Amino acid sequence: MHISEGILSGPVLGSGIAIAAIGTTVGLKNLDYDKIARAGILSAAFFVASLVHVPVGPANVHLVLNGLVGLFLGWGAFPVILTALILQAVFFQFGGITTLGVNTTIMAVPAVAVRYLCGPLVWKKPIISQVAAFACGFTAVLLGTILTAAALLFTGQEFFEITGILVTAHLPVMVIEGIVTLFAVVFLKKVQPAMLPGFNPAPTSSKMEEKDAENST
Amino acid sequence: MPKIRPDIPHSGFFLWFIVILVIGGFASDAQAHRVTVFAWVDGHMVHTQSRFSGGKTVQNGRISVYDSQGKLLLSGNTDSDGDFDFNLPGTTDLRIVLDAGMGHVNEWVISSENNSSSPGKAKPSRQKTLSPFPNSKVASTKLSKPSPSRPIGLTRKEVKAIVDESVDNKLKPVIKLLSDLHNDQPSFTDILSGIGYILGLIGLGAYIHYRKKK
Repeated sequence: MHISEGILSGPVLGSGIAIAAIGTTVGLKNLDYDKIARAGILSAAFFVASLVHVPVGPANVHLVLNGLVGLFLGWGAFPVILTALILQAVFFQFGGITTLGVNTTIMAVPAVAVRYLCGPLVWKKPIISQVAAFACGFTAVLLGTILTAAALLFTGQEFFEITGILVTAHLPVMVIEGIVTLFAVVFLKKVQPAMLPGFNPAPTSSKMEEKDAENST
Repeated sequence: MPKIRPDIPHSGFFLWFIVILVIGGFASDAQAHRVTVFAWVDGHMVHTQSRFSGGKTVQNGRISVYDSQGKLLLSGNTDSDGDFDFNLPGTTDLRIVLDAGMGHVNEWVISSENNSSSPGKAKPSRQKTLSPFPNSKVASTKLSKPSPSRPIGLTRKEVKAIVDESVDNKLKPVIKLLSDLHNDQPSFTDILSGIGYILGLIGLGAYIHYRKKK
């Protein structure tokens, strides 16, 4: 899902950078101190996940984990994914520096989307919650492949053809990520429910005050 | 309602998760999203090898060959071993671009110095025909008693062709080695460095937070 350098045209790169910049700004605003450790660890997970190759099918695909990142961080997924992508570009030569904006957009927009689509369902009945968790991991990769195809559309490749190829190639990844997200949600519900979205309906400011009061004592 | 606590004590879950991912990454040969193309000139042929990071071959990837002016000279698809061979089109810089699909592109440049001698000499000299001039200077001075029925003796061209071929054969393992080296995969050091940077950023975030408080 990392688009290499030198194939995308200027306008596509530009709009990718613009969307990534807006998302990162919003994400950094949302990322208060409570979430920094979480964000860092999810960033590390995302960074490493690209090395886990899924040996199913003819194509060369790997885990993405953007659904997991999005579910736990919402808009915070933008800075987290951007950081991981910069490091992947530098250390592994995946993607590239000029395509950072586009690649961030491709992976972070679905992450934010699944947060709003599936996040609210996590605290429903167990069966709905589990389906939502699976759908979260699954949909994030699916949307990612569609965005990749959209970015490649301007390189002269047929949209439906390339979407078909990408979706087929990533089908095993979607299923695996669905399962990973499902297990993560079930596990965290028992161990650390505060990490899941929608657990504490109180606004962030009151949470911060509570924190400050706790720290000052 | 349970009290909200900072994430840090419970980050253990994710730390284990990362550890499992790292191990999983190595167990599955750490193949990933990066393609490389490696090309070399062998006589009048140019061989290309296309691989994904980790050594998996690129099957049916598109290879396009451009000259120094960016003009498309030829193109073709890689076979099941990720190889694609073509005749050297001329003495020009060659830019070999691999498109493995899904936005994976890489290129390899062969400068004209590497292939300058090739197209002119290679095709005719490769055919190993006997010299059309059996009594040329080189042949007659170097070799004793040429039998009358069969002309013996090699022209410079033929000697060069034979030497070239022998050297090419000798160099094959070296080229293979170079190709393998070129196709390196992310090392453990790279992975740890990346994670280290991220931990450093967490530290930076914490530092800024506490600085603000003071």
